[in-house]
Amino acid sequence: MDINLDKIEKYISNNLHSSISEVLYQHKCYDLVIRLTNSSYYEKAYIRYLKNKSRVACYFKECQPILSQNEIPYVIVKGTILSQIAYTEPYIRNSNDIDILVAPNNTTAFNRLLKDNGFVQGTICNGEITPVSREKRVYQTFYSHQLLPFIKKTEIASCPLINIDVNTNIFWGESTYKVNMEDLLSNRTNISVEGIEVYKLDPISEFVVLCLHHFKDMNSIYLLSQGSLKLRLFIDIYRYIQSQHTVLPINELLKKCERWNALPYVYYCLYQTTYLFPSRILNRYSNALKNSSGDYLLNKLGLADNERKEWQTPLEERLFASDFLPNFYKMLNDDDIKKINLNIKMMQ
Amino acid sequence: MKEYKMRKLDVYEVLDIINSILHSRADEDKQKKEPITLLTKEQIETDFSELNIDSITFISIVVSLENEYELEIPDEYLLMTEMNSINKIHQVLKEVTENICTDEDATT
Repeated sequence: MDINLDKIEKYISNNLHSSISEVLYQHKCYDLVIRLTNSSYYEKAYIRYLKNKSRVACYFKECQPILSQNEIPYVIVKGTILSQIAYTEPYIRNSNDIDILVAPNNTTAFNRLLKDNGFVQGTICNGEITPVSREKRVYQTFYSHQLLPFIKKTEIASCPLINIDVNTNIFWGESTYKVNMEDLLSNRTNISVEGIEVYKLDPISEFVVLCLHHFKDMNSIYLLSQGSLKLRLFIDIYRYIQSQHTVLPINELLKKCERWNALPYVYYCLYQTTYLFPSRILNRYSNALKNSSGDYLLNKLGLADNERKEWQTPLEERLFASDFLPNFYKMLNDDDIKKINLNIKMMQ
Repeated sequence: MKEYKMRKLDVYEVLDIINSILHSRADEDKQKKEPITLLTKEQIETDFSELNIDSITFISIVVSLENEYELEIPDEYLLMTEMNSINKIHQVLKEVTENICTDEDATT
């Protein structure tokens, strides 16, 4: 296996009663589970892979009229595209939706396009699309830079519901930074998925957006309370750099990170990934992007200065300890708990 | 209706509506011992983060204004940077009603 799992295996064998394949499966690292020999979770991971393959094929076929249009600039991020680029195959990463970036001033037009193609905004409850109150819809748009999900029912057993998430900013809701989205989308490129030409970002922008998204999953108090800290996040970053480093010139990456105020967060992701999976290539990137703001964040959590706290345990323990949640909650104050409960009420 | 609402759509009208929302939220949440602080004309340009308005109250303000003016603010305006003061909210409402009237004129 190409990825160095020594640190992970050592921690698991010294501290947990689970097998490495079980832990990797729980952390959604299905590609690694499939590659392990004599893995008791091989069959489960392989079935997931096959279901994902069928689902992705359905998603892209059903969404072709939306994805093939050229009038409203968009890109697909994460999910199938990330899988194809970083893992060289579009079905490795489990994908339950299509994540799309559009410029804020195009959201009305994009909404109309989705609705004209049978999508409605709502949430899924017991397999049915449920409308959502105006308050929840406004809250989600304001505080997450993501519109309420667009969902479409199909008659296809492998994908009875198709979910499109539309994002209008690459930063999280708490952030005061804004990137010019028209500028971001002007560098998009084509990629073929299931025979359909769709749009994605250029590699440098794509990697920065990936790190920003994963930084959010690793540090948002609300998302952490919902179990967002997974090994898969770090494997995504590892795989992306390992497979794309020839088209990711370090000086260009550094310039873009500085321009977008993303340097601390990209450095954070590179540093933590290199810590877990030592690699000469990742080390080069991590060293080149080293900065004091990123160093400050390394042992912290929280997305805004007023909610920043210090972790009390090393990264491996945070990832794998079975008592993560109770210890995590002990770190939180009343405002944090209030925020979690509010997000649960308004976003679920 | 919309002609009437547009005549009324000045920033002080928006301020009055926001204060009535703050008042009714204070009435609903009687567990809070803090007295309500209504907003003043001098605070028209002040960022809401400096006015002690929490996220739920802010959302109530936006939705109540939508109901009052019988419109829905499009998603592209629902950005904190576009609506984080009374004056900015007023500007958004004005722009949205102007767009609605332009669309209606185009179809009649």
